[in-house]
Amino acid sequence: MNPAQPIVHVSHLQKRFGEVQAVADVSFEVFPGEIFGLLGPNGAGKTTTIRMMLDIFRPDGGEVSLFGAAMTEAMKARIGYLPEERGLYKDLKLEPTLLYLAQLKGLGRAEAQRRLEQWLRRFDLYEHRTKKVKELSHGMQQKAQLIAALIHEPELLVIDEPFSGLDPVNTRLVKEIIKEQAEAGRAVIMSTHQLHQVEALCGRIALINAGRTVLYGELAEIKARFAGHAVEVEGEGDFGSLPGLRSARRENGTWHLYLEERTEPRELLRAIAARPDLQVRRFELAYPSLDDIFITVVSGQQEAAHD
Amino acid sequence: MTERGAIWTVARHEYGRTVRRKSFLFATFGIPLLYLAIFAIIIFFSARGSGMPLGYVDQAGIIPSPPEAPEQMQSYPLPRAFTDVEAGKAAVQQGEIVALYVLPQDYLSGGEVVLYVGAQSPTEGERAYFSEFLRVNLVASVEDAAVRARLLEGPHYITRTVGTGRLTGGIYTVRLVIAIGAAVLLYLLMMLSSGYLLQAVADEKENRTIEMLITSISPRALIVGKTLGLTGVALTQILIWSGAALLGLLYFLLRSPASPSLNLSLIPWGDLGLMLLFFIPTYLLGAAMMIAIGSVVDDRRQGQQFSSLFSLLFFAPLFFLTQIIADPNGTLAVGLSLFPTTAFLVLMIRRAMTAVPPWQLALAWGILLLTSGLMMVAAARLFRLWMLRYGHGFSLRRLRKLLRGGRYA
Repeated sequence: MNPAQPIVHVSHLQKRFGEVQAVADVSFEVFPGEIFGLLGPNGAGKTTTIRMMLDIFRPDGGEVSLFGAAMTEAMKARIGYLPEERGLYKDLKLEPTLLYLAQLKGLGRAEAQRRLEQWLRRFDLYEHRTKKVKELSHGMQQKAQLIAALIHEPELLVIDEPFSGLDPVNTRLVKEIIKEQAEAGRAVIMSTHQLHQVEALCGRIALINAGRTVLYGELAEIKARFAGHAVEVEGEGDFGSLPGLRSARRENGTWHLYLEERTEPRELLRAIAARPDLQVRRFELAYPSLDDIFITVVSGQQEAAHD
Repeated sequence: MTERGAIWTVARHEYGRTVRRKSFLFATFGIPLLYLAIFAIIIFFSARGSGMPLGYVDQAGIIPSPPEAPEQMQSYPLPRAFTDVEAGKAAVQQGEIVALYVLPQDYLSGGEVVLYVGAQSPTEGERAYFSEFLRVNLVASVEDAAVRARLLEGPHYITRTVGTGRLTGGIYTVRLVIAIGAAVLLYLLMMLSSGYLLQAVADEKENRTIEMLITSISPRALIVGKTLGLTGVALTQILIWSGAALLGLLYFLLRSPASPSLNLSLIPWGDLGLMLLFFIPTYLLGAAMMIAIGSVVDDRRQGQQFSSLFSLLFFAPLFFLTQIIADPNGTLAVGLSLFPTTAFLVLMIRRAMTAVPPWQLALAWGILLLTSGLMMVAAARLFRLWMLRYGHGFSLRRLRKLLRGGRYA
């Protein structure tokens, strides 16, 4: 339990567009200094939830509070937003575009100019500042859009697909920056389909499916909850011949051993030690990846819906 | 950021962004240059004489010898008199004169003049000069100089309406010209800035910038800022065009002694106040319509198709100009005065022609004010409803569903 006051409090949000119930029941909280993952399949209602959170859409039901109160115009300067679909003036030059967006966030021109130069240099865009936005590559536009979200040093950063179009070098840079923001005490909400990035960055997550929060909490707890009765072993020998196994498979040199109900992992370790034909280099409890959890939950719900 | 600060930031951005566009620079400076070139070509080919004189044979015996030269158009050489037609025709063939005018014996009763031309015909300027030459010499026999001048100048009509004593018609046609000129100028402002507004709203929706903007400032600040900035753009364009037109007019006045002198007392200054009173809500009505269109369309091209239809609502009176001038208090004129999009232009024309009853002015103004207010509310609502509905082309069915939904945005 986080002792701090949440920066974002979303409670039982609902939103309908005509016949479509885009969001049925979404709730979560985000605290200062954390990187929060907002996950879900396409069309789950993530972007609509973000838009309701930022007062772009008004919810049909439920409640949103930011910084402990309902959204106001003054709060907009405390929020940085990277929308999934890039929104920059294509026919304008990069520097004036970002200066304009920074000024709309309340920065004076001189201060905006000073900060912009630092960010452009950090993102390796300084040499391209006089180019028109449409002349920049996909990745460069993504970095420019990130600058627009970061330049006014927001207390709440909402980033939708921040790694879209980025090469590995820039992906690493953006990850560093996201971590820095959290370390500086800012709350970061990250929505992405790149689940390995969520595992690397986020402490807590909410998984939305069909407009509802279906998983919510500490990532480690969720993984433990989904951990099967299994271990992963690396070493020499035929580990599949051990007693007490329900099944075993070998993948890329790693054995995945699924234990029978009555078999405890420590008993299995003892059995391995007693076998001279087996040499162990690594033995650990098998946790499912976030990918596995995502697929299990989403496809499980889909099957339930079909039934 | 305060709302006022946001409005000015948006206004400055929109102004700077638009005036730097190549299309703006081309339209602003290219159009006056194009007109200048067209006028220059017209003047070159129509007014320019060949330098050679015209010839005439006066069988009616009405032109004195030596003939009187017109005071105006002195750049043309005095026409040469011939005693017989054959000699004149020979002069045309030999290129000594441009053309030969033959005034037959019964000219005074019949008015017919035979024109013999050779390889080239006289220009418009040369024809006008000969007509002037003929008129001046026709009245030369009148001894009274005042009568002679009156015959040449014609009468100046002044009409007063019986009820109000208001002056209309005749020289006061100047008022009509000024009223229409001012109305067209103000309309130009409205249509230009509304067009820019439509483009700006549709563009931001098309390139997805809108989402960035409304998470920074309020939709109201965005709309007001855009309207101010783009009105500034249209004003700049009109000032440049008006300046070019004024320079052209001054050049014309200085070069042509025949042009009328300007009398500032003829300008209906009182009407200008009334004009503004109607112009502001009319302008806001147009701007609100363009914001509404820009909000519901997917791209600029679709927006332009809609906006050209809506523009017709404002320019419709120009199609009925003849009927309005012929019967300024008729059903059509009064009806169009009370219709919000046409009220401004029709009332300005009618005020120059007749006395418009005050109740009509008051009613038209009330209807206009109410309509523009309602349109602004509707535009703001549509902007918020539709601003993020990409790829959902406009349809009345969808609009009805959205409005019924009430809390979609």
